[in-house]
Amino acid sequence: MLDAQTIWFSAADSVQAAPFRSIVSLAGRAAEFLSETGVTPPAPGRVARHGGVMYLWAGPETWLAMADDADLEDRLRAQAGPEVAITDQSDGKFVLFVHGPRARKILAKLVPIDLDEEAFDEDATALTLAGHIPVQIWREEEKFALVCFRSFAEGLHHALLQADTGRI
Amino acid sequence: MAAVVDARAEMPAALREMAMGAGIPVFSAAVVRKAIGYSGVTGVEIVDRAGGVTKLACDVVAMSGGWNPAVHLTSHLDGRPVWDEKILAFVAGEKLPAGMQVVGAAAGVGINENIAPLWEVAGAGKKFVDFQNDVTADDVRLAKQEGFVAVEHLKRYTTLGMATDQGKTANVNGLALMAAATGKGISETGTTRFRPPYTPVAIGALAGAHRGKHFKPTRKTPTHDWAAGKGAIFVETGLWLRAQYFPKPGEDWLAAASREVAAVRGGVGFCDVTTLGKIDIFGPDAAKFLECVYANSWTNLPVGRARYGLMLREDGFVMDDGTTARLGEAHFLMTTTTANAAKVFQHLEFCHQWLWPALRVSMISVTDQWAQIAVAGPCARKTLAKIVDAPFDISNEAFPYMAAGALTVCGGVKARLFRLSFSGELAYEIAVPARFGHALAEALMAAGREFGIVPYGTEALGVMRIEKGHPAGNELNGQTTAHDLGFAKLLSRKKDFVGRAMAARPALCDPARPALVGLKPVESSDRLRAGSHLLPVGAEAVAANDAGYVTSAAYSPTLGHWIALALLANGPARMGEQIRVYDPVRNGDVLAEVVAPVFYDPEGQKLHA
Repeated sequence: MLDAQTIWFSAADSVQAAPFRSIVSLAGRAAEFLSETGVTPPAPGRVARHGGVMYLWAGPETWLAMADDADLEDRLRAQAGPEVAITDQSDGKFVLFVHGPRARKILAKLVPIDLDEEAFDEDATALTLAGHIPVQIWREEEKFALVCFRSFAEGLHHALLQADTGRI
Repeated sequence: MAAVVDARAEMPAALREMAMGAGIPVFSAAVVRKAIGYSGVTGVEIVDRAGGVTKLACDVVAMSGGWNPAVHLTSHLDGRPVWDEKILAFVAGEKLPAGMQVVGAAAGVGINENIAPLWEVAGAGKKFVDFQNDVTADDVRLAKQEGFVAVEHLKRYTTLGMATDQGKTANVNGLALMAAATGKGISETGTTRFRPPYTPVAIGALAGAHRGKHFKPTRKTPTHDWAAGKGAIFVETGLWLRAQYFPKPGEDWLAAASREVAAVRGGVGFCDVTTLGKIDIFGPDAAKFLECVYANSWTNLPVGRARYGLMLREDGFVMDDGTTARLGEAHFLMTTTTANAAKVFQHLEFCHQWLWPALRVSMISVTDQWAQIAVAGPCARKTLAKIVDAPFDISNEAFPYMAAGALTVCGGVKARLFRLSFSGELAYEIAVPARFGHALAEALMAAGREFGIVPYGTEALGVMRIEKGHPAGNELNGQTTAHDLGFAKLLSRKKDFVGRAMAARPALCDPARPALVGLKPVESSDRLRAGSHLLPVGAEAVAANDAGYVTSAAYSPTLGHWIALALLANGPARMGEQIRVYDPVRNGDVLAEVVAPVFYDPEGQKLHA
């Protein structure tokens, strides 16, 4: 068995890498499939949570499912018919948390959308940019979560740290 | 304070008392006629109503001319300011931007009461209007004389209002002077519109984070750290950093790349090809969709096989190429060139959402999900056999050229395997989830040690593809057609596809168009360089004689001399002809022989070994 490589970052108070999680993209007949399993497919810009799985709207007729365990893809495949496009993205995407009292200030320097409580509630999500890096953003408890393509992980982390330390 | 000079006929009593109380002399119904001084103010001339002149020493003159309501926000949103004769200022017009109301002083309420105009002080000498840009009253009249009467022309002719205050102190005066010169009212003369920002903003503040690497963020491959540990030199390809070559002590790029090529052709090597765009395409209509976007045919591709695909733009020129594998009845994996990955994905979404919305198909980028590594060379199979989990059979019979399939490697890591070759060797591309890419590189090094395995970079990759005559970015440059690249036979006649109609235009099929050929130097020690132009032997080096140009050149360690790919007018009909390769920029002027573009294993025996 091969060893998994962890993208490791030096610790910062406000910016941290999320632990590995399952990330699975759902497309094709995904809306019907989610409804059949008791999940109302979240509307554009919204997040739904159901049975330990988080579902994020991720584009036209596309959702991202996330869970802490490694078996999410297998579980979804077991339930879904062949017309649901299920794609493992656990390795392709990388999640970073920004949290603490300065979180909004840090993000305001990089993200062009309004993340104020009234404009971006706890079930909101958006596809946007952090600097020049494409990200999807949402909230998890007191944290903001950003997901980018894995190849951008170091760049995004660096940009967030720069914003955190006032160098941006 | 040396004095207060008030132009109004009646100075407000409160102001007069305040000045007197502070012991400041007051000049009522008087104006400053002239400022005295050269590199700074040393005094002023004051003229009163009766014409009496007073000279006064001072080192600064401060002015106030009443208030201008802040109409800028309405103007930013397309509102048109209108002139209010009562307060001699512009206020927001009646038609306001949706949801906006203007109140108080911004609406002209309670300001400039009983004001009388003083647009210009009579007298000789320069009379400045715009103190930042040194625009004078005479400049405004000159603008009128030259025909720059409209306010936007006045602004551009004189630079009135172009300084950091953006006309906040000067515009009304300037417009009033123009109105007086033309005999029109200020209302008719109008004002320029205001753009954001209201106050000056430093360019640095706008640039913000988007500097240096934050302007073009770096993408790293899953084997980046591994390659760095092996001493790789990296090259930027778009946003990606890729290993260019892995020099040993004392080697330059050419020596390192040549050694890597020889190691692959003589044994086995591997190269991270993760950066190629990878798009998973799903749906019952996935094959039909591929028929629409690719020029060649797809519905007959069996599950477990891959095929070269050629994609045209709507205008008939080649857009991109790559191999696409059928992983299931309704599941394909498309690959694109590194450079065009995002563009192709957008193109596919456009084709689906706008051209064929009824097709049941969805696609998602998996470029970052899979670490993909090309394993090439006569010992590639023996190397891979050591990491592939039983019972998966990679023998030539079970897994022939262009086979594709899912499997596990190294004791249970899920993987995808493709029998593809860019190098011209017996070769595979193996993909594992990205977090295992680093460990896969280590596993391949261990598995191939007995065969002399080497990692190779983009230099060796490029050399081998030129030896094999595969077009890449230099040839797929947006200006070449399928015909130019020798792919005319791929254009299906049995279906419609993006670019089919326009590709049939006579000029795009003209055999005289520059088409892909190989070049080898007549003198085997001569160097061929990309960008050189091709001229008939003996012809003068002028544009009229230009017959094409070299797109890619490399030193071939396999053949022992330089080789090149070129686009040559009527190229395929000119095999064996000698041509002049002319490179005035680098003093190159050599003879080459036109040959087939495939220099290495033209029968393709090695691919199928």
